[in-house]
Amino acid sequence: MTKEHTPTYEELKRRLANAEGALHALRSGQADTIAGEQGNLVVCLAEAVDKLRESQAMLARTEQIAHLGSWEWEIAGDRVRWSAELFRIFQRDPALGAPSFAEHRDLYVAEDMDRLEQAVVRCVDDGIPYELELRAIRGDGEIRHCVARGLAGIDSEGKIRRLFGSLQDITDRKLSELLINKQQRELELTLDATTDGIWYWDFLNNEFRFSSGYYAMLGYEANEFPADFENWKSRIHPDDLDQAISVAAEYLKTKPDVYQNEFRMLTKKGDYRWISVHAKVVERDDQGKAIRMIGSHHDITERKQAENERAKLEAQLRQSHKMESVGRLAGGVAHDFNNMLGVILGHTELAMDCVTTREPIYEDLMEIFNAARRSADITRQLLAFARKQTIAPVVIDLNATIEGMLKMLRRLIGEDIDLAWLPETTLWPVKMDPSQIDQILANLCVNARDAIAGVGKLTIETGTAIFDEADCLAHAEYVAGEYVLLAVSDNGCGMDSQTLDNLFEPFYTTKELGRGTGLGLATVYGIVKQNQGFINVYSEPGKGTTFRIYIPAYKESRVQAQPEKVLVIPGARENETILLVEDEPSILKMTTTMLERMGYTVFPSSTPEQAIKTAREHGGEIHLLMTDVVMPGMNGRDLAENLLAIYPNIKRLFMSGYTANVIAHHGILDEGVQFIQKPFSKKNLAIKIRKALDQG
Amino acid sequence: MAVDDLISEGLDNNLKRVVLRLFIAGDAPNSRMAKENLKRFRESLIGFHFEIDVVDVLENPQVMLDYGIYLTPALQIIEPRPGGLIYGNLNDGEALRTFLI
Repeated sequence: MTKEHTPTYEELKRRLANAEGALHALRSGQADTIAGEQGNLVVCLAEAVDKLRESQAMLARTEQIAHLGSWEWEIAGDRVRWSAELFRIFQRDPALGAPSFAEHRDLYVAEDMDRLEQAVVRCVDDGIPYELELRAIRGDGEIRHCVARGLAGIDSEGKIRRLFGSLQDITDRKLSELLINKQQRELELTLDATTDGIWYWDFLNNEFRFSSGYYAMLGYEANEFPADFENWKSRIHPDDLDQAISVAAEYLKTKPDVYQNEFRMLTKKGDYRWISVHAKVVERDDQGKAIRMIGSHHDITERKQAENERAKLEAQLRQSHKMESVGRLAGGVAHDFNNMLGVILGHTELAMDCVTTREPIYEDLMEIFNAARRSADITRQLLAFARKQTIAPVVIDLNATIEGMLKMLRRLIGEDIDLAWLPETTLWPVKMDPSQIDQILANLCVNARDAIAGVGKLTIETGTAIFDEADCLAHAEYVAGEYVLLAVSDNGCGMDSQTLDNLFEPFYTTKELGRGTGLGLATVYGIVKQNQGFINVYSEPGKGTTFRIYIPAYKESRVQAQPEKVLVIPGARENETILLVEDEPSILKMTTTMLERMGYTVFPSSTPEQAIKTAREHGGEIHLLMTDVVMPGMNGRDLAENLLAIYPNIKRLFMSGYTANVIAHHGILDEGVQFIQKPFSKKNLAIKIRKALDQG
Repeated sequence: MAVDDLISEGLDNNLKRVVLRLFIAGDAPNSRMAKENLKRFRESLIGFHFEIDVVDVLENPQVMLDYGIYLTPALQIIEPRPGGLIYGNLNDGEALRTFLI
């Protein structure tokens, strides 16, 4: 028996059988006992047999567990030996014995067999071992994915006499791989289909993955930059970075259910978008430490912008409501104050009529009169702010109106300030009381003058503007439409944001004591609002200020002529009678005196009832009814209606400091109705009485 | 004598050849038994030509190592199935028959 370098399986099997036979013979007493070393020989033999048996059993078990069958091919004799597992893999009856090499062709898918044959030939010819995946055909026809391995057995002469190899059934593993690949692919398709940014973070391998939606949200193509922590971090807005990192760290440490945060991220274009993040740790190790995390990024920029806009609009509305309540308060105060001023002014005028200018007391009376008139101006401004000033709007050309005021304005601002007038050539008309333009420009120019405080420039310009719905969305008070613009700009000291916030509040002033009442801009604001316009201010400290006032354009008729200025103080004509109705005794007395001094015959009444009685009982004509508007019991308007029944041709002159929407609708007189505002001077009274009487 | 040789040769050519080698340990009991059993076995078979080589391992212990023999008696089969090896005193004739034939 010759020994070979690599004993064959058969040889090994034979040796085992021999050893087993020897052991059996020994144990059954059929073998000779040889003195000396027999004991050891038996033990060694027994051990050798046991080890061999165990090895064989373990080999068989290993093959079975691993679905790994082994084979041996003696090339010259074409003798093939298969292990038990190999028979099981192919579901071939072991009694049939192993197939010959040629019969192996039927055991594999044709194209795989070609590859196997080539590999076997190389192994036989050159001893090159092989390992390849192929598909075996099981006895029941099922295809099994396998790995075939083979190597050459070299004899003592260096010749390749046999091949050894194995075949491992990896079908289950292969199917799992295919399933995993399919699931991975489905996951990728899902990620690509969503527009939301999905991300995945494997902490162990520090592996990031961003979906195509994640990239697109920031304006990038998929995978345009590497998916990693640094690329995420570097794109966060610097002001948000600290909180983004700390919130994430806190989540990982304290392990709440869901991670949420909002921060800004840089896009490819270079702007920032608001991103909302939701994420969750989906896998942890045994110590609870995070292994994998999945999250989503959602673009919430529009929502954030809407929130900011809403906050801004709410602030504007709050400011507007504040102004409304202040206005109501101011109006109420002004009304009561007006009546008293009327009395002071009236009686002072009467007193001044009784003394000559040379007398010392005249100067004192003059002081009283001037002080009262200034107070009346203040209350008029308050009423304007409260939108309670009764106005008589007419359709005007703003350019023409302002041009008529330029001389006065230049005098007002002084020589050191250059006044530039830039009218728009084609301007829509507006319907406003021209005196209100007067008030607006006077107040704005005075403020500009005080802001410049020395040498500077003031510009007045007009223009047109059209606002659409989009503009109105951004400003709470805007109404869509066509507007005429009046802008007043200066290059004075400008205003800070705190001043701007309180700009139109009555009695708010930045001027030193005695130099401003704080009502100028409140007046302007009230006038603009009363005319359904709006006003914007642009100012920065050191940069000057611009007021831009928008008045609705008037579309209906052509511009009317400005009312004439009356230069002569008219008096009564022959036998003109006036029925005077006023519930305030002091005003009734004062007005009666004034009218009588003008030459009118006056029938004073303190109540409407008394007036009606007087009218009924009077035999002759009553030319004019001069009545307060607001009285207890019956208002002036109703009184007038009553008297028209008795005196159909009676003229009417209404007076009030506070219209209360009785005679005027929103402060605007009905056409043809005469009105005098309290407190009034003698001159004003004379003019109004004459006008009312002369009305056709 | 030549005729006897011829007859033997002619007779032998028609017989099935069995070549055996028996390893014994001198006159040890089982070795003795193996020799006797083998002789009896040989005589019981017709149509077989036996060639038996008896090796005494006590005289030549190296032989055991050369042939990979662990115990005596041991019967090595050279023909008809080379490589077969039976340990023991060959008491079981039927098993022997099955193994050899």
